Amino acid sequence: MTTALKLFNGRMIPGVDRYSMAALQAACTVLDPRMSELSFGETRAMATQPDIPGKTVWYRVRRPEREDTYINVNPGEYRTTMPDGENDLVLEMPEPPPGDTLVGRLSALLNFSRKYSFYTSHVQSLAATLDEFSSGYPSIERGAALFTTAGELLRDRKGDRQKLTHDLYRQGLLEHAMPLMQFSAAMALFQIQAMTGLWIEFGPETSAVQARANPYLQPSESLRGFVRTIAHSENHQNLVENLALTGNSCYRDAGASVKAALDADSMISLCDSLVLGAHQYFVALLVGRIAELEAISVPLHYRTVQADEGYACTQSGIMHPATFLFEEFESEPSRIATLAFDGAKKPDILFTLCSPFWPRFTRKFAKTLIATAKILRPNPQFDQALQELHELDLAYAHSPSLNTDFERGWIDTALLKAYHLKGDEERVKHYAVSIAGKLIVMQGLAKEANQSAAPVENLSSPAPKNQSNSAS
Amino acid sequence: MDFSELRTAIRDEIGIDAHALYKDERYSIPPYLLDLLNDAIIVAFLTGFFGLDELGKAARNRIIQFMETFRKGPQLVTLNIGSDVDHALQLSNSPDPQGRQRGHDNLIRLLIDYGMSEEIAKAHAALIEESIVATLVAKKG
Repeated sequence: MTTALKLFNGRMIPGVDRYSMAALQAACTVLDPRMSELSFGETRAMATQPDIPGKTVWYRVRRPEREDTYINVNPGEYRTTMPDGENDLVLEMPEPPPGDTLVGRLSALLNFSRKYSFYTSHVQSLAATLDEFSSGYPSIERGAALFTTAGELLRDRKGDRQKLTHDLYRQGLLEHAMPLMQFSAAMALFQIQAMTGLWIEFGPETSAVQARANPYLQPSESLRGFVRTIAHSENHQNLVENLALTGNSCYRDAGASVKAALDADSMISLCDSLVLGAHQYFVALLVGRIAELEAISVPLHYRTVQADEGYACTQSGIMHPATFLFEEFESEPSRIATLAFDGAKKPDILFTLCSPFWPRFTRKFAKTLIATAKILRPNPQFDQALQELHELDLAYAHSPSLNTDFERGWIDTALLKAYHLKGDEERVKHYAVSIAGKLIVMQGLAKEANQSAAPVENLSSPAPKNQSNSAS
Repeated sequence: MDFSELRTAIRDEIGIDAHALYKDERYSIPPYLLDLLNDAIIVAFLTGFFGLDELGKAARNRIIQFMETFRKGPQLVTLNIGSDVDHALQLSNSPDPQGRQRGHDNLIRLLIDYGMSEEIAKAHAALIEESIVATLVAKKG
């Protein structure tokens, strides 16, 4: 029997709806549904890796479509060959906990959001993602059609490249019309064609570069085929220059996107910047890999392994909310408190929460979590942490971002706990009333919005299939 | 004075390029290695306009030894010079244009020696340099 999944295990935090929808949808649309579930299951299983003194423990990751790989959590390391050192111990990765799936988490969040969120377009988009997860296949056709139309407009000189590209990013990437990996390959293909001025023809017509079906339906294969064809033509130099430009600019911009994510004011902005960063690293990786595979000398400023690392790190940050959102409110702060108790300094703790290597939280929210960790139980830093929470609340209140409801809701919840522990009944009443008031407004607005949106929603969001978990 | 904010800014600026020293396989980089890289970066820039003699003979020798071994490969470095680097930041004034240029060149050379391409090293150096100078100016103000 499985326990019903609930956001923060049932603790209601004002503003959690908008953030959790943005974060979980981003986490679920990096890979296609099957790979997302596989990857999520492995992450859950990795958490059980034992710590055996004197041994470096590895889990073997078996995938049908590739050679086995080996992962060690502590210290984090990934190998493509079997570790055979004296202290290496290779274990089979255990099965993930039964019934704990991404589709179950999406389903729980959708039920919550239908009840508590007035962001109806986000709720509908979440429902569409859940539907794809339930069927097991991504609907790449819609995303591919966007690229086809944009390509035709550009080729026929009927569209502005900058605007078309901007629209593709908005619909394809930020509104999740296709999984991030496929989007990235499709965007690379679209850009390289636009930059070289050479376009793949598909359909009945014949041309120098042909495809039987829409090339954006299998964008990675199409990109490689395009590069291979052009590399052996008189346009070789044109191709090399534009591959270098694409790879180098994407690699450079990816680092800037991840930095922007860490510096963002809101966790919602962090999600958007990480999605962009992962896309940029993936394009840089793709350009590097294809150049290697096709033996084309492209002057790249980075090594493929660096782009690979950047992509893996950024993806781990995007996927993190799939775990964080369904833990107890106290779970992350408790882990921080343990680190602090073991003597870790604040910059070192911040590094574990907020760095380009595991970009889980914004710097500001990481500080909020550290302050929360210090109010869980009486300690000498309790009053200082209380003061920090008030200062952070004030900073969020003056933030130019309109998306900090979750952060402020979190701080209200932490302050309620802190004043309860302190025995300050007046403040407890103040925060309890404030939180309850916000939740009542949330629910009221959601009811109103969902009633007016109901006919549309019923048409576009059929009931999810194959749900493995009951909802919150 | 705690220069941890400067170190965080440098670490985030370098980001994934801390992996520039790895050739083929992906390995996670332990935080202490990032600290050593941070120290080397700050020293490389400061020595463009700050005389290490001001720190005293022992500290100067520690820093020189550190930089020599760092350039051979980070795995050989065992010396922690974090407090010496903080002291140097404390004593240093913001640079004149010539000193800043020397620091800038030192910094680019260090990043290239670490494994970065010239283009990436230059891009990082420009932003790191700004962070260090801003810290020195803020300290004075």
